[in-house]
Amino acid sequence: MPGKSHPLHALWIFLCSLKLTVVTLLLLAATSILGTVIPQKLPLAEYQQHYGEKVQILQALQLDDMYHSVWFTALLGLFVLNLAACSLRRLPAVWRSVSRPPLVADEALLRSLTNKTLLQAPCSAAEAASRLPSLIQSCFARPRQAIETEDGVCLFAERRRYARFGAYVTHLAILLIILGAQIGSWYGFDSFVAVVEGDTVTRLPASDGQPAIELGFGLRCDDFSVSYYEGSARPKEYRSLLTVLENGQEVPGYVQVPVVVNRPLQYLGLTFYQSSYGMAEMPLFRLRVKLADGNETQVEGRPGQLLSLPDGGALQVIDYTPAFRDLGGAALVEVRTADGRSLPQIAASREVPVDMHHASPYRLRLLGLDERYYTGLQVKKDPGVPVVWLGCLLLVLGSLGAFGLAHQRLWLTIRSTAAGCEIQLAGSSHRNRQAFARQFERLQKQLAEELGSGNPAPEEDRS
Amino acid sequence: MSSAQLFNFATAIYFAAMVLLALVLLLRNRRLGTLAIATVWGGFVVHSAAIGLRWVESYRLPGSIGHAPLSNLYESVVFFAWSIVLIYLLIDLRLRQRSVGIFVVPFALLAMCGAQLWGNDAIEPLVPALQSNWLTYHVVTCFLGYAAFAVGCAVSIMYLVKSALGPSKKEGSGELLPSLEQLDDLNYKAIMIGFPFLTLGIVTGAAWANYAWGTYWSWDPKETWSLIVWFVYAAFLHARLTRGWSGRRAAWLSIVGFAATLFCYLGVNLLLSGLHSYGSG
Repeated sequence: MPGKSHPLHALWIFLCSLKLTVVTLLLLAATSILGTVIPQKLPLAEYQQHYGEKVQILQALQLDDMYHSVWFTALLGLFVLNLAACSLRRLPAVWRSVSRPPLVADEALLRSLTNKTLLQAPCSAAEAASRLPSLIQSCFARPRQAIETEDGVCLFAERRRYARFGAYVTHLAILLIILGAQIGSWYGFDSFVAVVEGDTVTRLPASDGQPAIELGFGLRCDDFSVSYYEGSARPKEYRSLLTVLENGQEVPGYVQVPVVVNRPLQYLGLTFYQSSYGMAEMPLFRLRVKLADGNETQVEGRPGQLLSLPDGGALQVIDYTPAFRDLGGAALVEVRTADGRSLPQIAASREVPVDMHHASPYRLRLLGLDERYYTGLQVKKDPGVPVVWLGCLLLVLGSLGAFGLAHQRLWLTIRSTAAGCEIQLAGSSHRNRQAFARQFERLQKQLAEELGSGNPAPEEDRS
Repeated sequence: MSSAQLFNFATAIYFAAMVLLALVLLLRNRRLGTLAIATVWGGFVVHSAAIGLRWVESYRLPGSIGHAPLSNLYESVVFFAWSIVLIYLLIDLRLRQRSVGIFVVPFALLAMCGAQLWGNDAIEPLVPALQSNWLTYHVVTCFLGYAAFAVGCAVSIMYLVKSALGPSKKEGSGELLPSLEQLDDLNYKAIMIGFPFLTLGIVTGAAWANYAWGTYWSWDPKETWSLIVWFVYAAFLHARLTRGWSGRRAAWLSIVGFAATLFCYLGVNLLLSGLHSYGSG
């Protein structure tokens, strides 16, 4: 470590300060607000439209992508340095106090403890020393090997000593999460590919500043479908059936894998997410038409096509909705009658009520439609994710441990007296001291009862 | 009986409990205190039953749209109120600080009234992005955290009111209200409960986002605001370790933290745009 007068030492002290932690955290909180108010990563023109002249300030401060700006990264860097420095500085002392705890409560230690009492017992010191370890074990924790000192026999017991490390586990977790995020940004990528039903893709198209990427395998979309909640146009599920092909051969276990919104497909470090969909081409409608003379005929065609009927009239599909009232899927059809009239009519997959036929000479029924969809897949490679998850796990365990668990310690000294023996009992907890005070009181009553001593003498400073 | 009626009933009980808690302080009557806490328990039981009934009701609707009642603004506000009462009752059981109820129960009451006045209580099917087990874990952990922060905020207001009034002239009046020191400690405890829950809430949110959107973190306004809240309370917890950051300053920081929490919960959905728009309907 550098000498006291050295500027590096001053820097070290600065980086270790808790005040710096509080200030950095509050600065991070305050500056993060900016990016939630100013829309991020828009094209320059949109900012100019929105902010006019002020766009220069915005660009100078990199507020259009502030979470990746130099100054925000620097602030995060300071936060990381502070966190690492604080932990490095304090950890050795904590490690020492946990691995080599004071086994004997001397004067100085006793003075620093608030929970302490003196118990008188009628038995001999030797008897007390032989009975106490099992007693302490049953109501607190198994004490360590007794130590004989000039003062008497000393016992030490402790619980949950790992609780001391909660804060450091939390700090390590934050470093891991940031490391994982860095790995992701160095070695990962984010792309998008659209696959038409029946087609196979082998490469991801180039996207903003990113070259096209060869997959090294084929990905086929066997089917895409949207299902809707009964009787409504509210989507229930978007589902793609995907198959992975190696050298044109289907890979076992990766054939027609259903991929829905919360269930992506993972293959060779790549993850494919259901992200969007659309029509690859106009759908083909199949309609049954009952003519005025009672004859039936079937026609099929795509929207916009004029479908002629045997009686000289014609139909044209205009629009389609997957759920129309309680009639199921329905097409809006433009009807041109043989006598030159033009009127709208609905063809649904169920029988349309008579009052909706208007003046049309035809009765229409939608037999079905062949749609060819493409499925839009988000493709992600992020080798940092496992590191991030490990960090998250430690973050949760560490913060639960840091705030929910207390390291408790108990010291006993057994001395011989004229009437038998006296036991100096003292305890401490590194957290939640009120609860420990109550626990200590119960413990002391229990020991007094077991040893057959009278009421414990209250210690002068048990405030 | 429908869940909506039960929610109304629970709200009425909370109102009665608040009146009783105020009477306890005015009349300094301890037995009335037992009645007040029993009333809060009654409200909590009815409230829990209402949430359970709403869950059952969603499964009775046609179209198999059943889901845990945690999917929109109305349901989340109702759950928020429930969590606040839960944390308060736990504090009463463990720490015997029932008089903080006079400041805590109004938060729950306000949330319940707000839900019923402005919330849309129709049970609606889940959009595909919400069809995940993560929904329950994420919402429950977040709101337990938010509720603990609400309790911390209530205790902090109590602290500021009490410290502004100065030392009480009669010693007797200090008996029912906790001392400033106890309030300060309660504030700290509430945040110690809330912080791990918020952490868990953010982590489950990130895990879910990774499954649904393909990225665990995208600086979406909701994510960013949850991180802002996390930063503020992390600052609070570290400030406790340094001298001079207890008492009034800690109380103010706790109130600022809760204001950020409320903005993260309501403000982001109502004022900002982003991916996480489920809670605005």
